[in-house]
Amino acid sequence: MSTVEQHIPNDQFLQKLTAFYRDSKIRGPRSVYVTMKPYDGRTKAVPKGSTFKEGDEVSCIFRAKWGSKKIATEVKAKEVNKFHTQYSAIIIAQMVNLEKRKKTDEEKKKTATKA
Amino acid sequence: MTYFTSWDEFAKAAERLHSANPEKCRFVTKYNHTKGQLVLKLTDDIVCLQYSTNQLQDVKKLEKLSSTLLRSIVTQ
Repeated sequence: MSTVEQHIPNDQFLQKLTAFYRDSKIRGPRSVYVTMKPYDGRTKAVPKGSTFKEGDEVSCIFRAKWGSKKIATEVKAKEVNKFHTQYSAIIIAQMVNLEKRKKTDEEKKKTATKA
Repeated sequence: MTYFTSWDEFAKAAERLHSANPEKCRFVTKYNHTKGQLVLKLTDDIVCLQYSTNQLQDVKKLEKLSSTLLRSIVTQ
């Protein structure tokens, strides 16, 4: 792609991410993807095999995709703690349709004999 | 590529792969509410580690792992 990816501010990203998770439960595509990867600030392609320059400030890119909607944000090193606290609050609040606890084989046997 | 069956093995392998090649590693989480499924993937385009779960307790573990990865990304 030739267009430069638009990075939105962290708080907007988190808001939209919450909306992705919420909307995926009720309508539209069902899966929400979140990617994180390191980023050195460049916006142009670099030769294959090249590495980050020494001294460059490395930050982290968060991308989220829901259906055809895509959002991205850059998390600076000093924002990491704050961002992660908010991000974990979102995933804990939104990833709720999972099973509470795996039954061990012994417990399965118990319920099987009872029934 | 097959899925890891145990979280501990996945987490260990993920941290090892990340420390071996931090610049190329990306970490993807995919959550499907209807299926009640969470898939995690870490790859450096050579090795690909995947873990799939339907357990709520793994969200807590994901939080911890993502924190570790995020921190090592910015301190590399």
